[in-house]
Amino acid sequence: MVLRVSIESSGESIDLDGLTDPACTEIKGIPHSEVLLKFSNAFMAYDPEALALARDQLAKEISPEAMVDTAAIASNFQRMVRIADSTGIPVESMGDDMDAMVEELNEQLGINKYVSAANSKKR
Amino acid sequence: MSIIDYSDASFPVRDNITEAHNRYWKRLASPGNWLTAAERIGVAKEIRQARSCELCSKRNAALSPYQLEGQHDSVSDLSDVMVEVIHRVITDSARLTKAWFDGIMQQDLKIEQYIEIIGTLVHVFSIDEFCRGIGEPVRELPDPLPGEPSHYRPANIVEDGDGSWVPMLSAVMQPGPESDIWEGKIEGNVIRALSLVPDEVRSLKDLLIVHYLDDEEFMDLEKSPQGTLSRIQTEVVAARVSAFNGCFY
Repeated sequence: MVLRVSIESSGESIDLDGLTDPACTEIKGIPHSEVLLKFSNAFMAYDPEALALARDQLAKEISPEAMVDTAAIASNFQRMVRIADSTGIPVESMGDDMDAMVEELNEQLGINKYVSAANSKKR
Repeated sequence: MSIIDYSDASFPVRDNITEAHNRYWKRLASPGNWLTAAERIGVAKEIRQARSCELCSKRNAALSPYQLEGQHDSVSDLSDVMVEVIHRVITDSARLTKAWFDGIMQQDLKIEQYIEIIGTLVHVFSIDEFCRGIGEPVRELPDPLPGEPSHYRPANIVEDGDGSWVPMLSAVMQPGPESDIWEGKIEGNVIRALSLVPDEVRSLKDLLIVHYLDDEEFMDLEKSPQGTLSRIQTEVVAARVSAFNGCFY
């Protein structure tokens, strides 16, 4: 959702359909998305060799500092999901317009089919 | 006391990351509100054990993970129910259910202890995962300091959790000892979730700022949180990792 709003606020037009699909290797219009997705995929696959390759490629293509920041972001989202899943928190309402946008995006990206949706849907 | 030092890492780690990780390691070594320091270190040990636990591995591969009974491969003195919480949340959090949570609460575990376990788990795990991300070994755990938990429980708790499984502080913070956590605004549930043990929220925010962005800046979509990646690039990583985790929230 934040990504969608971020893109709209920047005035860009980017197709987000592949965002939740591990087979999608690039999102046109987002600079360096290929190496960022490659790192994220290898990180979540717990594949040390693929991760080492992705790490080096990201550091070379963007910068070593960006590689560290990418690892920091990825590890942060290993944390946030576990907080949400283990406490059964519902998604907050952000107003009718934003809620409608989120619902549309969730449907578009298949997020409504996640098992955890049963715990996090607004109550 | 073990100190986290990334100066010999293959990639340049920002000082504010090292400092935040050390602040958390110091807290990890100290008695908490509802767990002793030894229990907190035990949580950290079980986090590192969970991925090689045979029962967790079988459950992870099963279509119906709650049908499989057995003993976890534990490496600490923590109770069975504590080990079940840690291993299950680390290895299969997307398939946690309210029935599982209710079953946990019927065993010998206070809700305050549960929250402190979850807080300890997510903070240690994020630091361990950061190390994995940058290609470094996990850091040595600190030795636990002596002392007893404070048993501090904040006032102004919404006992029904506003629809969540756990009690938490009101979304609009009341004046008092917790007003440093989210003063003057309505806070999101993912931050409120650990607020039955306010120090877990303080640690969450301390780590959140250096790993991702300041909670106060969440809706500032023009900001490049750490300077090397744009906000859009940041959210690409966040979204892909969350998708792997099946994170609806």
